[in-house]
Amino acid sequence: MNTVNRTALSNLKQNKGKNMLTGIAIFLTTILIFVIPTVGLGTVDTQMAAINKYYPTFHAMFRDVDLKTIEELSYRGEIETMGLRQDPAQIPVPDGAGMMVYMDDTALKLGKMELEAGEFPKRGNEIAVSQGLLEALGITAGIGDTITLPYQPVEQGGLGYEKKGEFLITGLLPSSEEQKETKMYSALVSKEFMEQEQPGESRKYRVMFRIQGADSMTKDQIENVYGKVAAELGIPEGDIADNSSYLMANYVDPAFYSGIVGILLVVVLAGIMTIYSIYYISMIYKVQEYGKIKALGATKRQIRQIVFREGMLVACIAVPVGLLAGSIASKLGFKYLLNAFGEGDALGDITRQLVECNEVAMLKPWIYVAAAGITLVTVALSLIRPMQIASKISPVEAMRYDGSIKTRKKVRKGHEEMNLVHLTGANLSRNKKRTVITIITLSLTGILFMVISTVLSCADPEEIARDSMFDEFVLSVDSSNGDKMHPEKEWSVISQNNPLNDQLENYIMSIPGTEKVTRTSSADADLKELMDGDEYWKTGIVGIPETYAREMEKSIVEGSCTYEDLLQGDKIVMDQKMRHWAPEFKAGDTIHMILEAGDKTVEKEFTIAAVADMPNGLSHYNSFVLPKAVLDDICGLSMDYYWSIAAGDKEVKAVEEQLRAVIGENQNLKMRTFEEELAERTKNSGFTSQLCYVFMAVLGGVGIMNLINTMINSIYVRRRELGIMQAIGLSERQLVRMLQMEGAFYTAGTLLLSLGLGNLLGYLTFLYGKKDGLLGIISYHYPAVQTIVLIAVVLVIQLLLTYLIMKNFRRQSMIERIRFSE
Amino acid sequence: MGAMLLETVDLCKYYGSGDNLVKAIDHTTMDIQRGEFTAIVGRSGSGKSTLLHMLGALDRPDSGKVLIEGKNVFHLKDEQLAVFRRRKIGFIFQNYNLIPSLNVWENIVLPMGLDKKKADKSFVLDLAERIGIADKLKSLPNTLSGGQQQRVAIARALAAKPAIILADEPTGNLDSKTEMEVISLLKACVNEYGQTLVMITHDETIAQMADRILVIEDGKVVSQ
Repeated sequence: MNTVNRTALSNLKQNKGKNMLTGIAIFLTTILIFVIPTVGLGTVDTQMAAINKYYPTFHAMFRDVDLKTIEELSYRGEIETMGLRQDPAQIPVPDGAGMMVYMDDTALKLGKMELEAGEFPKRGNEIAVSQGLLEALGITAGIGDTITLPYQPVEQGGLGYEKKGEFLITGLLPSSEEQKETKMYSALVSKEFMEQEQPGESRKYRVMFRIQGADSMTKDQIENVYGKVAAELGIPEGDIADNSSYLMANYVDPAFYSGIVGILLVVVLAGIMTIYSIYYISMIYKVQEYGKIKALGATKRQIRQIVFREGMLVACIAVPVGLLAGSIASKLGFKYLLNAFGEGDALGDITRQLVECNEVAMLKPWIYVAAAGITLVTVALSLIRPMQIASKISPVEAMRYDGSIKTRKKVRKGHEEMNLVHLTGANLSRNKKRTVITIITLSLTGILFMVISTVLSCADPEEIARDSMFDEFVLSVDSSNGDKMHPEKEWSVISQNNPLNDQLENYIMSIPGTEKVTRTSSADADLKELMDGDEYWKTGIVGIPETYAREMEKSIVEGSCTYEDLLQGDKIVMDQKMRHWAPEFKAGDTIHMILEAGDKTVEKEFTIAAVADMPNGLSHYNSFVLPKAVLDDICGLSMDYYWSIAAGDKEVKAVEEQLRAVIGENQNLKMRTFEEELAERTKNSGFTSQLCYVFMAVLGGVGIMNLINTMINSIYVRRRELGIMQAIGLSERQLVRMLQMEGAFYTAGTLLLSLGLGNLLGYLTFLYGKKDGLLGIISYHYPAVQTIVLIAVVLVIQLLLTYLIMKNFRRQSMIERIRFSE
Repeated sequence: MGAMLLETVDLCKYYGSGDNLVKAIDHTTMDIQRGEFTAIVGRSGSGKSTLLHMLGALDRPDSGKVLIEGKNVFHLKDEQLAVFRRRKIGFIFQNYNLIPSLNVWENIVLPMGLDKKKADKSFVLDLAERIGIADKLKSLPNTLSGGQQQRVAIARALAAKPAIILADEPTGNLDSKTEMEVISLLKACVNEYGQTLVMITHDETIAQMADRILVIEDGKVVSQ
């Protein structure tokens, strides 16, 4: 070991206290830098893995593709893998159908086809069926049995004559409730059978495929890629079916990654400030020592090396310990995260299973390397200034250095009479820059805490739930637009035979306990002034009853308009959230809409009378508002979509039961209860706040290290000065009071800055959050509890510190202190 | 010369143990009269400073007594001792030991301030005038020369009009011309205000200016 290293090492042992503090600060910073991306990416990875296990993993499917096109497709670089499916025939089932399906190996894999038992059909008349299908056909059989089945081959435009065939059951497909309800079954057949029933060139396949490099693409990008392929191969749009649930589930908001990076930046910044501050402050009393080393012949470079290596040695101990603690914390944190998934949720169960079996590698080697790298760079950056200070000072200057800070000030106005307060003030104002830097670094965590607390306290679950549901229940139409597999679910189709009719209202009002049914309409519309790619922007209009007139008028933020004004039918109110997509729209603008009214469309011109910030319970997430009568009138039919149902407190359960029975009978209706809404909001916000507060606590730990260091050093540096004050008559009680006042100053400064700036920034964040719908924030709630907690924590730490430091201080006799540096 | 002001009885202070045992003060008995100027001389490490610290109640002895005006000061609790110190004793250190964040005036009145007493303004101004720092009252200590700083330290020790001034090589860091000035000044002030001065010094010339010289060797007073 050379001299520089030996000196650095012995310094490390010598300055145990300081290095302990920096060590803890580095340790905590490492944990944060490691845990945040680990848990963040781990969540994404696990979710992806679960999704891949749960959903069929193809991105989209082309229907009616001939063999020539399939060949062309197979040459396309955009396609990663593709599987073929052919439905050669159909088994007649009373009130339903049993589709005979052939799938090649890739299709089986992509489609997540699994057998309960047995094997997939390979030859001739082998077949895999579900127990449900056999039951529906009234057959009792198992694997290895041969059964006789009627079937009709699929022909151009329909089904052919019924044939009978003998099939050997080789495997059992799982049965589901859904199959039983819809009476739609399927059976897997062999390639041989398929080719026999669908001979020759006319055969058309369904092609399921995955896009190359989709992991780094957004949902839209993936859709663009296969849309282009389809267009180039002449596949009509109607023959493209995306695997939307898989695409949706796999989609990770890029904002999520920016969020992680943002949080990491905050951590790194706080880490640098703290470690820097610790080194900078402790440098003051180390100067003498460096002067001596210099006097003995160390070069500037060597001094810099000594400082650097001492710092790095601490980091070399703290970083691995931090990574270890981070690994444990990530594992535990992740287990906790998992509990956030709903009980009995299939995806949640799979996720839990994946984590328990350690199937997803959450602790990634590169994160270890990156976290260690970032932390070491943080430490290195913090060391630059101390290295400069230590190397610049001349040996003579350094050896005389007694800890007093040289100021350029020559005179001080001072006070005629001296007392403790003046004495404390004089010390604090001695190096204003340092005092200010200390308060700012201490406040950073506090400010962040207040901002986060404000956001969390504004996200009041009950309020948010009440905002989106005015009454106990919302009964609404269960429609889904653009689902090519289920055209019957289009609102334009359902509205022609709307289940939300007067008859149903009468029935609901007859349920004991029902107090009120408030009927709201809704229509889909294309907005001609705004384009979404090549198409008009799709939007929604809500038609509100007169009961909600005041609610609507109250929420207007720009322009003015009454419910009465809207009844004329040429004016419309726009929700503020629409500004997100169309920031240029303002009150007074004229817009043109094409409304879907059952089987026809109606084009209509409106003037935007006002812009409103409506509660979701009113707008039901639609962007435009009209009176219900006007909307129904324009469409020429009753467009009832949301029914808000109020029930007496005592009868809520009974009414719910009855309503459940109603939706049980009608597939096109769904219901949401206030209880569900509240439970979900509560769970989400509780989860978010816990995560945030844990993060804050660790970051707060870093801040506390800074505070401890500041206090200890301010006393350590001045130990001789304090000794002299004692010699000339400062009693111990006065000393304690003086230190307490100093501490109180830092405390007050920190609190003032944290609360002042924190509340201000918190309020701005609230305004931003409200505008952007962050966490569903509605109104401002001052984070009173958090404020009290912050004040209490800072005060307690301050008092505790003063107490501990005094205890330590007493160990040294006054003479030792006075003699220090003599 | 008046009655006995300061007395030590069989005073002992040891540091370390075994082979490393240092008898800084070893069974020392001595006394100092009111208004007397006593010089304590001795080699480096002979125990002069330790003795001075005991006299000034800065450090507690292992055994023995220090009596000031007949009262054993170490019977006092730390808190009372601090009060006693600021009222009865003025210290002057070799390194001046001014508080760097306070200006000259504030340094001088600090002991009175700590005692919650108003400074006798005209007295302090008079003192500053005499000592030759009247034009520096607003200056911060680090802008003053060594001699000026020591004058401030002397003013600080005298300002509360304590009965005893204890000086630990007050001129150790000064050149010989300044040294004589400072000592003369100190002596004149002490005379004028009727205070008792105990000073540690290496300097034979300065020692000769004292009413009495105590020589310390290995923790013992060997000649008076």
